[in-house]
Amino acid sequence: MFSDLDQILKMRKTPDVPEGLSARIVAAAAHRSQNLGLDDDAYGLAAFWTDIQSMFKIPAPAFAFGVFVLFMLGMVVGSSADLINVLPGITQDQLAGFMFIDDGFVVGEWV
Amino acid sequence: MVNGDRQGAQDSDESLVVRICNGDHQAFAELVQRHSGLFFHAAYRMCANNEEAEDIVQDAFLKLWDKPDVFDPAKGAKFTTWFYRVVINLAIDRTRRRKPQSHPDVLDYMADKTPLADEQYEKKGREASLESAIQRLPERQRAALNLCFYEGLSNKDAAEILGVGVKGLESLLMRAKKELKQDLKTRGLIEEEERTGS
Repeated sequence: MFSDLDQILKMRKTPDVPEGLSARIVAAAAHRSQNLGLDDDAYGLAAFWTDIQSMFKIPAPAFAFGVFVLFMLGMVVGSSADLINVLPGITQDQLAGFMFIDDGFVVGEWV
Repeated sequence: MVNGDRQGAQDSDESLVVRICNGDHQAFAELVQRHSGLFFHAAYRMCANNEEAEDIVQDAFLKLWDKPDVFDPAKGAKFTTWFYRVVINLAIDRTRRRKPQSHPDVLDYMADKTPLADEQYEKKGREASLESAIQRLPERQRAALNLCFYEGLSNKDAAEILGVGVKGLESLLMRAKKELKQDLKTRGLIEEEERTGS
């Protein structure tokens, strides 16, 4: 057992560099063309969309939890609300007028 | 530690990049030869996986070949400092993309069937526990620890690579060491402070 953090940090293992790594990288670059002068930071529509997506990126569990909370909130509000509560000050008559469906109209009048 | 200074009569890293901008494959090969080992280790320390580290270094160098003019020596940055940032960012992207799991190399390491003496086995176990604990650190804390402790960079260079001030870097390092110490204590790798004090 160690008494000091620095002491234990020194025993961290690092693997040898894989044989032929440099040669593989150089070979991979040999047939590639360069894109000099192309501005990597050019702010195209794709880059803008990627930025927007990354701004709203949240972990899947947090997203699922958020959706669940919103759903439950909707259920609670929906089950306890009616139009009288949603439109404060509305009277029963006004509501009846609001809800009245005139089934006597002639389609021709609207065309 | 940073290799740009040790070439003597050789071309500096920055002048090699200027040649790479002119499509000079030989300059690219020289730069890769000079630094691939250094950056392989940096990538490995971020992801603890040989294949991933190899891919990260290759991707980073190929990005450099594709767009060498992205590095601008006129801004005063050393090539190695700038390239550390590229490698660390690629490593962070990769570790974010992969599924949460134990680090394969650490498991392979423990699953090695070669018969070992008890003492060697214990040592391997300690090394694997240490690697796991470091890999569990938040990515920026891990990067700060790697750059300052293992890559031997100055706080100023490490701060520049991570895009924070020196104070911010010191805070990251302090939190990394605190979390690591706590983790290693629970695994019995570090003695409790009361015991060391006595």
